[in-house]
Amino acid sequence: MNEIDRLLGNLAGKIDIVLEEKLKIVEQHIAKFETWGPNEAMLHRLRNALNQKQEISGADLSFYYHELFESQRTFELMQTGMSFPEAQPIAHNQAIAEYAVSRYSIYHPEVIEAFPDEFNHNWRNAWGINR
Amino acid sequence: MSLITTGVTLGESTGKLIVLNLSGYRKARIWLGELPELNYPIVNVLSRTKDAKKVDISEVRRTAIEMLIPTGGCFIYGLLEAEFTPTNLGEFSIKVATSANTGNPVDWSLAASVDEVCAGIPLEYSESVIEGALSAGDILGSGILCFEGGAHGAVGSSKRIFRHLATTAVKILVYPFESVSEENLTAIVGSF
Repeated sequence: MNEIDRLLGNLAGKIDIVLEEKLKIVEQHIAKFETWGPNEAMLHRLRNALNQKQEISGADLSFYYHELFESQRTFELMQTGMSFPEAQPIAHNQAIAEYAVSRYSIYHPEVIEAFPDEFNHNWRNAWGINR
Repeated sequence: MSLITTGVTLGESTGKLIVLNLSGYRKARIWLGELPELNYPIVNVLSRTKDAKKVDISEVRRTAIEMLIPTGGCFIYGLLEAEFTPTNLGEFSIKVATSANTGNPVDWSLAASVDEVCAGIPLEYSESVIEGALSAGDILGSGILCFEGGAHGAVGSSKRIFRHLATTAVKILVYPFESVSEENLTAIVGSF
């Protein structure tokens, strides 16, 4: 197993297609937070894959699955009485555990490179950027 | 909405602690006066000096700002302590005590459940701290501004958050602490 496969855990070697209704769920979940350039860039990549009917893999798949899981799990936890800010970090950790991915897998290396002030050296090291 | 408490023990601090819940589920904590214990071995000191006018600040002022910003895919995080000592030297000096990339874990951090947080200001962020402090302009005047405490997350810290924390620290230090309002702090901190 190479370093990138280790980063992607259970998603290593997997591919999927982006569905319009699922992408809307992701967009609505991300819209709950302040606008952040790397999120916009990742959403653009997913929208582009949907429009081009391209399969996604790697960080695109990790971001897509992470946000879908986090959105759904946050909603479920809120049904038990938690507030959004209480539930979302728990759902975030559970999403990472669900797919056994690294925390550094969720943003694409091209996005990490495009926003050098937003990502530290651990992200670049994880993806082998600037080695 | 904010919570203002005094005499707290968080991070061994006994100063005033203000908790701000900001838009987009962002959270900030601001210490005024006594600061939390975030000691670390100093590996280098970065400094910058420029001419400055004397201003009205006559006492040493200290603040610390901690921010946690959820994005969905990660949590942006940083904590920075600042101390300003006014002088009559006609110059404004900034000093940043840099640390190694790893340090003592900070288990009371806002990001403790989602990141590996440890004490220190790694070299990677030190220049951003200076940039951030300088970008606030000549509002503190003649004196020495020291950044000798901080905490960072392995995943969520970045140059941008530390630049913002330094700018925020300078803007907070200008205010006499007894007159700092929740509205002031929300406007200053929330501009990230």
